[in-house]
Amino acid sequence: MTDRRTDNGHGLAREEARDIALAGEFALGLLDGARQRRAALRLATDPEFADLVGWWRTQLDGLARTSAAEAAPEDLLLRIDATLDARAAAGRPVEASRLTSDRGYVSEALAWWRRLAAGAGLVAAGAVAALLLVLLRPAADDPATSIERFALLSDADGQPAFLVEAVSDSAPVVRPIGRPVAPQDAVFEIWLIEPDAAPRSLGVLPVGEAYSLPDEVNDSVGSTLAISLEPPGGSPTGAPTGPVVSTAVFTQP
Amino acid sequence: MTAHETETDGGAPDEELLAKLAGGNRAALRDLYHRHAGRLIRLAYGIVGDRTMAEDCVHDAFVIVCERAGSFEPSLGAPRAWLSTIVRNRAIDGVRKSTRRRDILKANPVVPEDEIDDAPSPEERASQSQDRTRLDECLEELRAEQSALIVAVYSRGLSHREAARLTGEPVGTIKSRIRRGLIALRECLS
Repeated sequence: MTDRRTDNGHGLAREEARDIALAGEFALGLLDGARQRRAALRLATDPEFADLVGWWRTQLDGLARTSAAEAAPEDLLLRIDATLDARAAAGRPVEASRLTSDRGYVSEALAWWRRLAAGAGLVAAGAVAALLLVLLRPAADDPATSIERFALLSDADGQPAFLVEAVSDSAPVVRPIGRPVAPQDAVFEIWLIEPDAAPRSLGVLPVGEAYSLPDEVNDSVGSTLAISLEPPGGSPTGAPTGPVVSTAVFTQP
Repeated sequence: MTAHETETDGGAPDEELLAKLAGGNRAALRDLYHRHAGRLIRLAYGIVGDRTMAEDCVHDAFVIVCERAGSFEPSLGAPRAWLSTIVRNRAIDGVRKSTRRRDILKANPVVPEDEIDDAPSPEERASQSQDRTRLDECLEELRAEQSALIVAVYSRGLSHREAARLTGEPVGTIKSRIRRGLIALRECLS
């Protein structure tokens, strides 16, 4: 953070004012494309920026109180209960005993990146950190190593969970951000969803390791990549059978 | 906002309910639902313009919250803000993929000034928390076009482009107004 002042009228350094606005725009859902992806990565890697986004979310939530509260319909609560029961019956229960392996993966990822930011855990994090630095750097800086195609797969909360990246003509690689762990008796399976085509399995992701996708995925820029939870060994049907935990478009920076 | 938000219904704080939810306590889900679902449906409805879609967003949000309660990250906002964020994200994702979005906005052409007119009555204000009052005061201190845009973007889930179309202003002007408004709002609230 520098002490350069601007004419923003608030005595804020340029970078501080920019971050305040960026975090606010992110919290409002105004960002898209590359700016959204960069902000999502900063959310995971920059504790100060994450705190700023959290601050905005809490403050802006005050706007949701503007309208008088409505009674909550009981039938919707019954539907939520039924969904949870169905997911539990399908082997994806919400009880603590069955969730211990997966429920913390978002916060684990955040904590992991924060340790990284604080200078700890660098040995384990080195490769992914270097990757993110490449991603965050303007592509023109180093054409030889810049990512040319990628997908940042976030979970339902917008937190980065997997990064798929392809450098030059190399096969795309899936890298977990942090340590996403599938629930007990489940694995992560990645799918390619091309327009007007059924999802095609690209394989089961090994736990905590990078995974190379087939070369031909490089020809599918603009298509969607998805990760679903499947039984050990992968989907028995050749189509996704479990919940989709993450999707993103395979795109160019 | 304190770490443990004071609840007006006298029940356990949201953080405590989330902790119980992480332990599989369905009673905590019901408490959380009855406390927040009404406002969340309204929040989603403001964006999707359809009651069924709004309830679907809230349904999905509570299922997510049940499964992620143990991974709640306080630094990313208070529990109620987390709920609102999930609902808004699902609502925005839904409408931006929908071909009906333009029709919805056309049928309900809420211009930003109208959102300000929808502010609570003095009685409602008095019953709301100090945080809400402070937010209200700070919004009133902003330039009207800035506060109106921020409120409209939040409550309708507008993109820059949609806000520009509704107001007849260039996209660049909209972006600039929102950014300047956010910076001023931060200064005021801090």
